Amino acid sequence: MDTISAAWTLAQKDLRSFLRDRTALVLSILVPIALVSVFGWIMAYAFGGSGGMPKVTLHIADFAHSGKSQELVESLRNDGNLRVRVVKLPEHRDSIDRDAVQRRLEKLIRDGDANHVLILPQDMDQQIEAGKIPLLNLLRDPGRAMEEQVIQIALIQASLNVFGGDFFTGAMEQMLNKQGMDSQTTGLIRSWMVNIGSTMDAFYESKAEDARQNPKTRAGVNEKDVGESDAGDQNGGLQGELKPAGNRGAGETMRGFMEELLPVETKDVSPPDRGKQVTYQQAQSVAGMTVMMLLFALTSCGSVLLSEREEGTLKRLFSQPISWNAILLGKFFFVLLIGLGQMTILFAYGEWMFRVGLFRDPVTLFVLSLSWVVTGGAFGMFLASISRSRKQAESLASLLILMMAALGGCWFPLQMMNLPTVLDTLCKGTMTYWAMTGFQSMLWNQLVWYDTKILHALTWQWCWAGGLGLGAVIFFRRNYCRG
Amino acid sequence: MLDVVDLAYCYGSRKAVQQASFSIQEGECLGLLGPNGAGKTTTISCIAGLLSAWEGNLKMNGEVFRPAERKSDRCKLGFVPQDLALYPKLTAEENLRLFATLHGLKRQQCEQAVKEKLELAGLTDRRGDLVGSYSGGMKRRLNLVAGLMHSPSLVLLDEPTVGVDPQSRNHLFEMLLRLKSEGVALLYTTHYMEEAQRLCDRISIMNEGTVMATGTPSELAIEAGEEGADLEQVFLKLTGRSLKDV
Ligand SMILES: Nc1ncnc2c1ncn2[C@@H]1O[C@H](COP(=O)(O)OP(=O)(O)OP(=O)(O)O)[C@@H](O)[C@H]1O
Ligand SMILES: [Mg+2]
Repeated sequence: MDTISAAWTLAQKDLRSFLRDRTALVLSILVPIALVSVFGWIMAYAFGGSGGMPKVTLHIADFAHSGKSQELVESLRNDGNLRVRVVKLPEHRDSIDRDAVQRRLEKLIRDGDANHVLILPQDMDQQIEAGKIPLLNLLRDPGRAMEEQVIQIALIQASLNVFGGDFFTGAMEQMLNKQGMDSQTTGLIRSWMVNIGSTMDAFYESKAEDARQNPKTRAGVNEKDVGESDAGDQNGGLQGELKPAGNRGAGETMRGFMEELLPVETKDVSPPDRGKQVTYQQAQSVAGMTVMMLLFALTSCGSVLLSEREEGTLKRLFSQPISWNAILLGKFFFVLLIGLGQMTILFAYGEWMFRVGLFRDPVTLFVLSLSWVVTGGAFGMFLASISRSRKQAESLASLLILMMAALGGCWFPLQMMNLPTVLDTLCKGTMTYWAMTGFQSMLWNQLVWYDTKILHALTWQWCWAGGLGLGAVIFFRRNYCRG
Repeated sequence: MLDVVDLAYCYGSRKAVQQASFSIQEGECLGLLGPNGAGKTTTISCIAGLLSAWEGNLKMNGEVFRPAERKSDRCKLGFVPQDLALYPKLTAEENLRLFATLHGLKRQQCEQAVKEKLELAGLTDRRGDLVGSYSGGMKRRLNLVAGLMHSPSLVLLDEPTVGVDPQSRNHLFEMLLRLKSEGVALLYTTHYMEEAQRLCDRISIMNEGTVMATGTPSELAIEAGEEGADLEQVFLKLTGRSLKDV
C-alpha cells in the first residue's frame, strides 16, 4: 500500500477511535469553550469596558486641601486613564500627625490596597505662589512601573490645566537653578521662553482669526480622526481639554504647545472594519485561548502514538507492508483533522459570543489557522517522538504549553507590558508569540494574510513547524523504529 | 519454506538471541518452546520485520528474506503478537478491515476476508461491538485472525493462547489446525508442553537465546538421552531447573 493511502487509512482509524470516546470528545470541546468564555468576560470587565487598556488606580492624600489642590484632584479625576481615590484625612489639617498618616499610606501599598499614593503637601499653594514647583510625593509599589508612566503623564497634563503654561517656565528656571546654573543665565532663558511664548501666542492668535473667518478649517492635529474612533473614554480626558484655537487664552496656547510635545499621541487610529464593540481583550482572549487549547488538543492526539506503543498495536502496524513514514504521517493527518475541527468550533463559538469579527476575512483566518494547526501538530508529534511514555509526554506538554502560552501572550497581551530586552527576545522565541501576532494582526489590526506583518509571523511559525517536524521524524526513527 | 541460520540479536549489550537455527516446511507447525526470557519473542520479531539489526541469514523459499527493509517480504507473513494488538475503540469488523486495507486488499476482497475471518474466530454475531467490550478469549481469537487477513503462507504466532479458558483455547487450536490443513506453515512459540505436543509437528527447544535441539518429541527425548521420557522431562533436562528470567 502506498504511503499516503496508508497514512490516510490510519488517520481515519484514529479519528474513528477519537469520535467513539464521547467523554473525551465532549471535554475537548467544552473545556476550551469554557476557558474562552471565562477569559473573555474577565478580560472585558476587569479592564474597563470598551476602552481597551485597564484604568490605573491612583490614591491621593490631599494635605493642602486648598482650591488649587482640589482643582488638581479634579483634573486628575477627569483623566480617562485614571481611577482616582481620595484618601480620607483628619478634618483639622494643622493637628495631623504626619508620620502616622505617612505610615498609614505606606501600609495601604504594602497591603496591596493601593499601588500609587500621590501626596499633595500642605504648603502647596505657598510654593506655587513663590513660583516654585510644589514638591509632590508619590508612594508606589515598584512592581507597577508601567502604571506609573500613565500617572506621570496624567500628572503633567493636570498640572498644565491647573497651574497654566507659565508655571513651566518658572519650573524650568527653578530646576536649572537647582542643578547649578547661575541665576543670570536662568533669568535669560526665562525671558527667551517668555518671548517664545508670546511669539507662539501671536501665531495661535492669527490661526484663531483664520478659523473665525473660515470655520470649516479646524486647527490642531489632535482633533483629526483617522478612521473611526472607538477609544471611548480612554482618551476622553485629553480630548475633553481640546478646544478650537480661537478660544485659547494666553496660558492655554502654551499649554496646547506643551500637550503636543508630550509623548502621548492622542490621535485615534483604528482600522475601519473593526467591529465597534470589540475590545482588545476580547480579541486577545479568543485568540489566546484558542492558540493555547489547540496545543493541548494536538499534543494529546500526538501522544496516541505513545499509547499505540504501550498497548502493542504499533508492533502490529510495523509488521504490515507499509512504511514507517506512513505511520507517522497518518498520525499527523489525524492531528491536523482534529486541530482544524477544534479551531473551527472554537472560533465559531468565540464569534457568536464576542463578535470579534473572526470570519470577516475567511481566507486569512484559514491561512492562520492552518499554519497554527500544522505548527501545533508538529509540536505534538515531536513531543510524542521524544517521550518514553504517555504520562511523560503529557507532563512535558503541560509544562511547555503553559510556559509558551504565558510568554507568547496567550493569557495577557504582551503589548501592555514593558518587557526587558531579554524577556522580549524570549517571548519572540516562542511559536505561540507568532501565532498570537498573526491572529491579533487579523482581529485587531484587520490585516490580510499577505500583509508583511502576518507573513512574517507565518514564516516564523512555518520555521517552527519545519524544525519540529524534522525533529519528530528523527526521534521517531530512533525511538520507535526497528532496532 | 523458511530457513533461519545463525540468527543473533542484541538489545544493547544483552544478547537475546545467539546462533539460533531452524527451518519450517510448508504446512508444518514448528513449536518454539522455551522458558521465560529464552528469546522466543525476539526471534519472532526478527522474522516479522520488527527488528532489523539482527545478524545471520533468513531465507524464504531459497531467497534472501529481509522483512524489516522490504514491504513485499512482510506481505508473505502473518504475525500474531504476544500482546493483544487491537484497537479497543473500534469494532471487530473495523479492526479487521483496517489490517486488510493496510495489506492492500481491494474493497471486495477486504469485505470477503473480514467475513471469513470473523466466522473463523466465531465472532460474527459480535462483529459490531467495540473490541474493548470483548472477553479475553474473544480478544485472543480476534488477535489471531487479525494476522491472517491477507492469507499468508507463513504465520508467526507468539504465545497466542495466553490467558484463555479451555473452550477458547480449543477453538484457537481448531483454527490453527484448519490453517495447517490448508498448507499454511506455522511458527508457534509457547512454554506449555501439552500445546506444543498437540499442535506441533516438530519442536525447537530454546534456552538463553540458543536453540538447544529440534525434532519430534521422541527425537528430542533421544537427543536428551532420556528415551521414552515425556516432553516436560526432556525440556527440564535441556533447559535446567533454575529460574530463567532472573
Ligand atoms: N526491549 C528490550 N530491551 C532490552 N532487553 C530486552 C527487550 N526485550 C527483551 N529483552 C531481553 O531479551 C531476552 C529475551 O526476551 P524475549 O522477550 O525474547 O523472551 P521470551 O522467550 O519471549 O520470553 P517470554 O516467554 O517471557 O515471553 C530477555 O532477557 C529480555 O530481558
Ligand atoms: Mg515472549
